[in-house]
Amino acid sequence: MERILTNGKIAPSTLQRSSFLRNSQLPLHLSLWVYVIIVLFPLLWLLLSSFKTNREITVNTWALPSAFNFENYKAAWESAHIGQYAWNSLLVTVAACLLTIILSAATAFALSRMKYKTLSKRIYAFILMGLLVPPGALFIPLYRLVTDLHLYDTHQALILVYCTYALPITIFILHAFMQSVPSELEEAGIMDGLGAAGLFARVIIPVSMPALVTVFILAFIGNWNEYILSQLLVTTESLRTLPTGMATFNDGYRTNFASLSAAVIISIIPVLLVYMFLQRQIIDGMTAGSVKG
Amino acid sequence: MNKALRNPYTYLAFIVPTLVLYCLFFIYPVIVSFIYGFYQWDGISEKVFIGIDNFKRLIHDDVFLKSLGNNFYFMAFSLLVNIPLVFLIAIMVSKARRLRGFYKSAVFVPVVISTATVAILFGVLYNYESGMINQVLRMIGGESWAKEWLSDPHLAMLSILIANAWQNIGFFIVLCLAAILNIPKEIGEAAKIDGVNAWNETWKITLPLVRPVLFVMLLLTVSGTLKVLDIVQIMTNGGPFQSTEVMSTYALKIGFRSLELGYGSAIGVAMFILILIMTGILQRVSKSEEVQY
Amino acid sequence: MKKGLTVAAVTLMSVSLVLSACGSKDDNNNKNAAANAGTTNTSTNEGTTNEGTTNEAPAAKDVTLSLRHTQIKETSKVRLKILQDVVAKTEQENSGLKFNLEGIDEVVNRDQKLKAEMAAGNPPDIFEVFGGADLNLYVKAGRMLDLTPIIEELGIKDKFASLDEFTIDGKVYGLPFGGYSEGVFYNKKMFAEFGLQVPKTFQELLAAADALKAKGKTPFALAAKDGWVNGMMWNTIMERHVGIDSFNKLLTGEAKWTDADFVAGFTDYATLVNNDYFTKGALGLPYAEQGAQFLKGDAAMVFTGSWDANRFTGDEAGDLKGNIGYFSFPSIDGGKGDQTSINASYSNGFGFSANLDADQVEAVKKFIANFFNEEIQKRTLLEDKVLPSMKLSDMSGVDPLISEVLTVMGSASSSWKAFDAIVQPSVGADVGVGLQELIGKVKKPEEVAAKIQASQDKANAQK
Repeated sequence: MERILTNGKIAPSTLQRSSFLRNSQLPLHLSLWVYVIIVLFPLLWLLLSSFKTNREITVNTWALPSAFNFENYKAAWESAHIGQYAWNSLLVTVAACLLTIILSAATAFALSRMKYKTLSKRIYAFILMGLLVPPGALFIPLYRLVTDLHLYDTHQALILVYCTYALPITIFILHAFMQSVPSELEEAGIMDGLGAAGLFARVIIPVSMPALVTVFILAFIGNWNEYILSQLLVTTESLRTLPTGMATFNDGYRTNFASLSAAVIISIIPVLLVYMFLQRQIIDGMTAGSVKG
Repeated sequence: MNKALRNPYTYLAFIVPTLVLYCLFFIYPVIVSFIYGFYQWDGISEKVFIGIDNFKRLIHDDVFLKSLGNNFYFMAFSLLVNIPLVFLIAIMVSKARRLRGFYKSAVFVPVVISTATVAILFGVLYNYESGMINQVLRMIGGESWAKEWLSDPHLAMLSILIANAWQNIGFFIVLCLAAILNIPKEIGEAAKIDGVNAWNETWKITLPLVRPVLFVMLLLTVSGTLKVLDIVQIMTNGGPFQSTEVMSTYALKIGFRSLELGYGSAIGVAMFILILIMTGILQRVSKSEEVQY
Repeated sequence: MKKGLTVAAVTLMSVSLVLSACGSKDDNNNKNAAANAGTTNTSTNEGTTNEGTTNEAPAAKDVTLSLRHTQIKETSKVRLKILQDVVAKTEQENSGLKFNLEGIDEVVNRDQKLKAEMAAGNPPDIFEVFGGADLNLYVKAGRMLDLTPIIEELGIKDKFASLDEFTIDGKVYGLPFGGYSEGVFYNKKMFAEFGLQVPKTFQELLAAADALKAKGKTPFALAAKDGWVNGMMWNTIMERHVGIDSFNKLLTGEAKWTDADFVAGFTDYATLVNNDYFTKGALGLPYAEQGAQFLKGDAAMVFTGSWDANRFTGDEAGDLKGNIGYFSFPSIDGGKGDQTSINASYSNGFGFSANLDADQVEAVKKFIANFFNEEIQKRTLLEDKVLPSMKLSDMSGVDPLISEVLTVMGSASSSWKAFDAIVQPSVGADVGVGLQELIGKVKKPEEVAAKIQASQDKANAQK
């Protein structure tokens, strides 16, 4: 970590001093590469491990696999029910994320742009309190609530709870972004005869696209990896989500590292795809909303 | 004036659904669990009301105080190391003329991995005998450089912090990057014409302009590090000999393993109040420093 | 405490091998039946099936039982399969009876889900439960079905090795499905290579460890991240010094952790630590790691429970397969305990809800009859390598290492349950912390003893 730091620190000051280096981006790229390698190394190792046998991992932890065999992937796919669990996860995750985004965007818009200042401030502070509560303390009351609402053992329970847990942070981030949107944009919309809802849909949403995508990804990852609540609120085997499949290989007494690494690789691919697809949207969103100050 | 933004029906329609979900699945369980804090209760038998005895006990509980200290260590590290690093890398990526998309994806990859997997990965990296980190250190400086990363009480917390940074700063980088890229190009160009060097540009122009995002990151860091749970729980579970105990892990152990749900809830209440105070301070400080552009 | 659940931990890669190698005809039939689990099953009437129940024209009434298990990990597939077979058989024998199996994470179940359900008064009909503090609490709240009349009626009450940990005030509230004992697994190859004998006394153990250290080997593999792992060997050393009954006296104040013999136990444990017999960096390692070090050939011995025998006989053992032995911890001169006793426990079992109606209780009886019998116990021993919780007459076809474990157990002068099933949970947690402090060499034995005694005083003062 310290190494990155020093390396990183060199970059701006070098940039400043030497006009040669200012034009050449070499030091910049070098520093970034050091960082990228540190970040990606453990994952590369995970990827290589997914082709090894457990014995190979135990004895030659850091060596390259002796042969590329896909046995682990087969085992992970089959014994962890990854196919079905991934589908459930996708359903729950996407539904919860969309719900979170729609509700949060609307709320953040109302709180940051509409003209009920005092009330908005109070509600905003009330919702922000959600950031302060350690969720671990809530499981037992939450379980009882979900049972009382007859939502126990349904995907709806997970969707609603995931959505709610993501609301405070999402609203917080969106609120910050929407606050910084220049009011000139809005005024132009009002001139065109748009009402509040129209402004929201036609002006604020397109402009906030980068932020929306960012929070969507954040919520997506959180839900995709969530384990305890999904164990607590769902009991039927066929409704289980992906982390249950992951846990199959890691029982604390005996970690099947080979299958586990294969399962992890499988599980992060969809998230990476979503990210790579959406991060282009971040750029698009930026150009679309390109705020003329 | 802006009648469009003063429509009470739209306002309510945008806010009420969020509030309903939030109160139902969040505030209600929070209140219930806060009430437990005033009881002596094992979770099943009759509750005994004991007023603030649990809170009095808290003040004299050495382990709790130690946990509190660790949370502050966590917070200090994240604020002083993670946040500057995030900002630095975001700036570097934004300056890169080529490969920007690649860097953006690469720094983000660790974020998509579940904490459980991160903990397992770093457990392997930190291993005293076979861990990659010690192998590299031995190569550089000989046997004495090898460290007991997770078992030396002076290093264990740091080891967790590094793993945590590895996993989490990617998201902040992307958040920060989105804000930096969102700065209208004209401002940078104007600065260049005025002959502002890179260092000053970063310090005097970029930093102030991404202020809202910086505040978002600070607040998330403060609240996140004070209620941190899973990475500590999985990597050391508070060990060795409670040297890495944080408030959340301690509350869960007390509440569920030692069967003192009342006292465990009291710890949760104390955490809430602490986080409330800390974020309150943060908000004050950031307000007083606010400058208009 | 947590180790109880490992009774359930299993490998499977070797299972089919073991089966085909030493399985009797019965086992193969069961395996075939297992292959069709869920569909109708015709070959189950072999062996010990109770013809009586089948003929008694089962009530056509529809009865449903929910069954919560925690066998969701890859390593517990075999155990799950056995359970599923028993359920399928019971359903088939009793028309109208249906089981809903539900598998969830062990920790989530124990810490949150079952507790929440118990608090609300709606636990599943059948569920896994640990003897000890948890069970006590549930019984006190009136949530557990009293099984005494059922096992008396079925005539299996005396067939169990021990029901101690599920018995409260003379009534039985749970049935253990397996057991374990703890001792030293050792690398026979390495012992032979260095001319070492199985140590009989603590002094011989120290000598052997010194010899191993001199050859550059780690005498004992240890992963000390979780308190219970360290507690295992320490518990046996302690028993040798004070006798297990002294642990009971801690709760009444008749004995204190700071008594000379207790401190002597801590001191002996500290000796092992200070001589650097354990894995370096042990405090940061998760439990699975100590077995890995042992199997890698870095460490000569590992003190652990019999549940690990399954792993040590599996593929992961590589060329050590068949070269691993087991002995009981050596005796300690001058100790007040039973010097050839062994820790053995039957704390992981099934409990039943007190909410069941009469029809459901009848169905539960059928389930108990089908699950707790010699046939299933033998199958569990062979396939799952979990020590049986019931006395078995036929011991054929058992893996050599398992036989060794059983022999050691059989020749022990007495057996006792682990300290954390005796002292209060908060004291157990502080013992875990204290042992880590010894292993980290930050505290002296006397200091650790004093700190644990303070925690004991506090726990004794409550109620």
